Amino acid sequence: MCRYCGGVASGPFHDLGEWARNALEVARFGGLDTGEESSPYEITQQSPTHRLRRYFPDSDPGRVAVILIPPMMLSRRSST
Amino acid sequence: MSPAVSAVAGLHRCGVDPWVVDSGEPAHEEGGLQRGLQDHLDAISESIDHVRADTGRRPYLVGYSQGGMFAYEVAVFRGNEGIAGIVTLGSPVDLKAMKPAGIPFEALVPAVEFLSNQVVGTRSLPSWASSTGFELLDPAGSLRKRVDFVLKLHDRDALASHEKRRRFLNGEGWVAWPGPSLLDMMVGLTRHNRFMTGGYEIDGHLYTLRGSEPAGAHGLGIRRCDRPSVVGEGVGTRGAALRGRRVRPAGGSLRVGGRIGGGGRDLAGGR
Repeated sequence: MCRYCGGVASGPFHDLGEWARNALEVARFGGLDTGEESSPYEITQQSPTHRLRRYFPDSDPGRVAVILIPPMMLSRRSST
Repeated sequence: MSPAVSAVAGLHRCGVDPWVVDSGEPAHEEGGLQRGLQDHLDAISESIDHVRADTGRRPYLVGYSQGGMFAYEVAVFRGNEGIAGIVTLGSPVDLKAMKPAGIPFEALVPAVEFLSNQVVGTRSLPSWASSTGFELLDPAGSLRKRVDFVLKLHDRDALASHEKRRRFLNGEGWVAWPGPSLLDMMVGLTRHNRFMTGGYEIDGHLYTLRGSEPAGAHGLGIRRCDRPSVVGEGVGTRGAALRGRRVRPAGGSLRVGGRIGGGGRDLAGGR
């Protein structure tokens, strides 16, 4: 569906318009907003060199605990 | 990261309680670029104690790439205390077998020694350098992905599922690598091919996992080990890495690293 004319979205002009709009978004913000949310977490320990994040802190107790350790040059976003 | 490819989201769906050791962004934190490997290992060790106290369970350590090396080193230092097991994903283990870039181990060690002592020193590696270096591992593939992205820019739906990952790999996910940490890593990775020959050097002392107490039993579906073992891509359990003596130092904190080929006791005789 064409967001501008209300009709069926198709054709090279529509594609060109979408391409330009998305390219502008990438140029301005570095990428496309996908609307995805990061997993919920809370910081349970903090020191000058690290923060320990517990994800899904409201989960039921008794689960097996796993500590994920990313490599030094990747941010913790690599696992979350 | 997209929920579809998020490790913590996936683990949570499988009934796991996921924690992450976040070292932040060293370039934007006070003293961040002066961090050494010992700072990272101390942080992980403190995290283990915290998780154990909080949950009453010994946690598993899951490290990917260099994170797997950290997991092994922390387990060695702690003599496996408080750790249920280790899983490593894509961590370098046997450099002799891997022959990175086709370079034999015997030639790799002096090359890394030179780079470490004469080039790296305590210089930090900026985040853009790590990102660029990663792309240069497969320049044709990286270029193809960029071209594909531009050609598909008109089709937002087609790009959406990979967009978070693309942004991550193209720069947002990389942080600066502190110089001392980089030097420590190069020492630990190359000296005596330690991950295969067994043990790890901390402050000039050799540590191994032999004699560590058996780990507790947990039904995680990941490998359960009598001792932390190395499990990963084409790696399997490295029994050799678990043989030898476990010796703990009198000192309390982790001390790792030094100059490759520099002073200190030659530990080649240890297993």
